[in-house]
Amino acid sequence: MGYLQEYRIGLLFSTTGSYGVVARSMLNGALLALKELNGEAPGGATFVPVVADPGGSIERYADLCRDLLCSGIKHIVGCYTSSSRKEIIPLIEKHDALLWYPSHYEGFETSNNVIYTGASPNQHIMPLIDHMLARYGSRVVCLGSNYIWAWENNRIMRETILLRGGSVPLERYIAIGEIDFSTIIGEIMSIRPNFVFNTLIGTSAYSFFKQFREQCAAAGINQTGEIPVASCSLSEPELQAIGPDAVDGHISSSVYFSSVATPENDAFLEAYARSYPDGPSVSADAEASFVAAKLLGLSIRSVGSDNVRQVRSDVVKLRVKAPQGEVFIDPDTLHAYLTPRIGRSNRNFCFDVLLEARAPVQPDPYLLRYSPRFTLDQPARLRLVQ
Amino acid sequence: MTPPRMLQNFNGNRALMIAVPGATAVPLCGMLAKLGLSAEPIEGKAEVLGALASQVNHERDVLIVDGDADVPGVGPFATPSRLAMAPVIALVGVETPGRLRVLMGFGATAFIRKPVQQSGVYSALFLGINGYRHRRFVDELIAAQEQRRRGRRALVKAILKLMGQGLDDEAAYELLRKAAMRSRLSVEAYSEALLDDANGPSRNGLGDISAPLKIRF
Repeated sequence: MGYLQEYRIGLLFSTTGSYGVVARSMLNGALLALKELNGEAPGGATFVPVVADPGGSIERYADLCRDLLCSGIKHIVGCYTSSSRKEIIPLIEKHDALLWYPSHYEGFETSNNVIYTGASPNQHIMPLIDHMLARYGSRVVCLGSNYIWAWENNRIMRETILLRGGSVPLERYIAIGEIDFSTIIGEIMSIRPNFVFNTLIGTSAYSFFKQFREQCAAAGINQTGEIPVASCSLSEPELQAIGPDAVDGHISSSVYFSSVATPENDAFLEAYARSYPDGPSVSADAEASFVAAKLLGLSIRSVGSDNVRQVRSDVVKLRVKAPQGEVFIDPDTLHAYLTPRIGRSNRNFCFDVLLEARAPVQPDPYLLRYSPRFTLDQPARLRLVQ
Repeated sequence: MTPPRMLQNFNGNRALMIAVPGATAVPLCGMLAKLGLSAEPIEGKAEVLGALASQVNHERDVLIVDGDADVPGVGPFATPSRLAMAPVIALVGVETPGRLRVLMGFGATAFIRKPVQQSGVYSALFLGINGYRHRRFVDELIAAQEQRRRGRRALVKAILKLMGQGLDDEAAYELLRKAAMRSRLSVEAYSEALLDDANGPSRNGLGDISAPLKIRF
């Protein structure tokens, strides 16, 4: 009787806590990929998910990560926030394990022990800036939650806008969880910028969208037409949280929307809905988690071992047909080539894809190719979808 | 003088790696390449370092020196009273005051702890290069102020001379200031030139000592 090789894979997501909705969709994406891999090769190596939930508590990440690593696990798919990733990277490096990080983030990091399948800043914010400047103008209000994601994205926005002759008359940071925006909205309405760049997260973002729409309507302003809100973190599960009255007309930059028209995405959506009928709906980070677990499983199968060195060498040779299109890993930075897109939310809690890149775009986590010091590169040119 | 712009993108810079051993150089070069820098090994010998000064461009180059290596003297690097020829980042193994003092004497404005980890290299470049640029700016500012300070004597003399021609001190200073601006000189440099000219054979047509100071209006 043949010996069936089993590989235990750590899945570290805060499925409870303040950002639990997105993290649950990420866990679902990773679980779905492992399930599909197990079904694809009967009799071959199988993958056993070991799920851990830090509950959004930063202290729990290190403890749970250590437990997973000490139990012999070499690969962990997980983390959503940068603070949680920074917390566990030293442990991952110490054990020479691999973290498969499946979320868009602000960049300025590379580690030989991390594979990044979410979007780098050149794949989300740069195409967004290009689109908003061309379509709406260069007078921008930046509004964000008071933490690294917002600080860094607003810095990139501010520097690029100023370099292109625009202006940022207001830049504000709000405590995470703050939900009263009446004063700030008053300021925005008196400034009347060409658009608002939103880097608020969670409940703050949902409250802002609702209150902004209400106050604009009360003042006779067509919010989506006159002061649109652009984000590079807004996803489908969050549209549900915004609610039906203010859900439509928001611009989002992402490498994946559930409305992307590929056969792989149709299959992904169907399998996801079948496996998780109670939701939450898919998100770009759920897709990135699905891709991360897929790449991991395929690499382990390919080398016949979960040896970190071998898997890391092998994964950069793989090309997978992901729901968003072809995805592969850049050997220099271990970040993924992904396909940037611009979407606009509609009343069906989805995004209409307006623009997309013609081919996967090389990751540039340090924005080396967008240097105001030497030359200003153009972001990836997107083609019109509708 | 305008303070230097803070640099954050080091794409295209060159790292000159002085006496950095292979085990440290390999991970460091890997990370530098990710940040867009090219790296060149440099031997830690006196004659090599002596020849380096003429090839280094402080806008482009950053010197990375191994703090545990026996690099002779301060060579082309800074003495504590002089600015290094380019930004210096030191690799620190032994954290003793003696070694750290030598590295600061080299002009190090940032340290990278050994063994080199990928994280921390960007911060060290950021601090090292921007710290150097700031120090260079401050040094130039001080040198310019020193030169002006030395010129105050000439300014006082020129004011006194103009006062001898019937102006009060305010009017004399104002006259000199405006004339200096027209000549695109500092008021001190203008006063020096004016007095030089007045003291000897006319070189620039500003007048001579026996005649009243002549300033073009």
